[in-house]
Amino acid sequence: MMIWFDRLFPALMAIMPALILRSVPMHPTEAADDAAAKERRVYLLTALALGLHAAAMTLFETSQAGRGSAQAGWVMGFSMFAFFHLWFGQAAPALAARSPGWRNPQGEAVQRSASLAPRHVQRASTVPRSALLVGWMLYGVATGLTIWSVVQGLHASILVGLIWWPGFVWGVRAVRTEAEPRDAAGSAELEQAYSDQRRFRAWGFYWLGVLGTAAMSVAFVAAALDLPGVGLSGAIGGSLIGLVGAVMGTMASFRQAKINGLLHELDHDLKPQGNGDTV
Amino acid sequence: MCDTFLRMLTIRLDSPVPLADQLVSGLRCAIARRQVRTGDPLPTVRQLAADLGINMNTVSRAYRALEASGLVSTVRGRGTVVAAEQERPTVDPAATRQVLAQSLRGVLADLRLAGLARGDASALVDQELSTIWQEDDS
Repeated sequence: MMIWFDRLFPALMAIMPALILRSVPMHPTEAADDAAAKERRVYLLTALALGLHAAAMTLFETSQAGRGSAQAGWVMGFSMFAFFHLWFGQAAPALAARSPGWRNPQGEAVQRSASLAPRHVQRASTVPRSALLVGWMLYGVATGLTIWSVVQGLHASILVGLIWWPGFVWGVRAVRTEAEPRDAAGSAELEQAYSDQRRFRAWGFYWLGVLGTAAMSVAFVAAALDLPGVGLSGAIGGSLIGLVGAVMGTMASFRQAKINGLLHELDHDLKPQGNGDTV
Repeated sequence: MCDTFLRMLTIRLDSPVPLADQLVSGLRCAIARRQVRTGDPLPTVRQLAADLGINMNTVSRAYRALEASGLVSTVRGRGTVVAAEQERPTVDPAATRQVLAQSLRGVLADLRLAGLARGDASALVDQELSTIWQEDDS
């Protein structure tokens, strides 16, 4: 099973930027040739990364000498390096060239608008205090269980357990001050889209915080009691939470790209001083 | 400059007017048009700066200028709120009136130099007057 994980995980990480790029509809914002060239470079480098990984895996498995820590180091190191380079270095500029939704909406705009409605007092689109209170109560229980598991002699990474929930509460609050550039005419559709996105992201942070806190406290207790299969269960649970986070993050990015695309359209439809309100 | 519409604040990066002055002007306009009323909270400095993609210090400077004129105030726990719908009375109302008249003459001169006939200029002024005093009339 581990051999298949070592083979597949880095390959999946390397291929993901190209898959995401391919899934975005083409609305070139630069010269079509430039956009196509950037896209070709992503595919080429993805193929190169896959080839490199295949070669490394073959080497590890034929020589036998590299098994163990070296192979594990390759899997983690290469996965991170390939993904971050291919995503941020190559696919992000290619996406920006492919569709206006993936560009910074404030990048080139000389006219910028903002709503005067204060989001810090509008709690409607975020997580209500009662739900946060439930999370804090769970955190209290989890902290108690974590301390108990340490007292039982378990040298667990308790720091992660202790900062996990407060970190996500900070995330819920930070959602309200994320940039929400608007069109000058105050489109209701754009306002609704931002409100939905805020709610999606805030609840995403909330549930990741709650599920992570619950899962970690269960894992610490199970480890302290030395229950059978706890290591594998912890690994699977941790991976699942990571996967849910990745899926939610990707979904949020696609939703944001849709919002940016809408703002781009509204800005381009805007007739300068057309509403008679600007002098 | 009076770039507010439906509680939206608009600035232009290519304008010769400094950004902080554009913010002050836009917020004054929103208060004058009663788009925000006394006691209404304004966006936080962080929110407005993020939405407009400008520096937080620029927004802070604008809020401080409005605070100095008595239009907004910073309340602990509530942030910046609209404090009044009229500026703090000056020591010399006659001098204030004179400054305002001078500004108005400048705008009217601009209209004439732009080639507008008196009737068109008057219609434009009436239109703008009605947007500012609209809430009070109703």
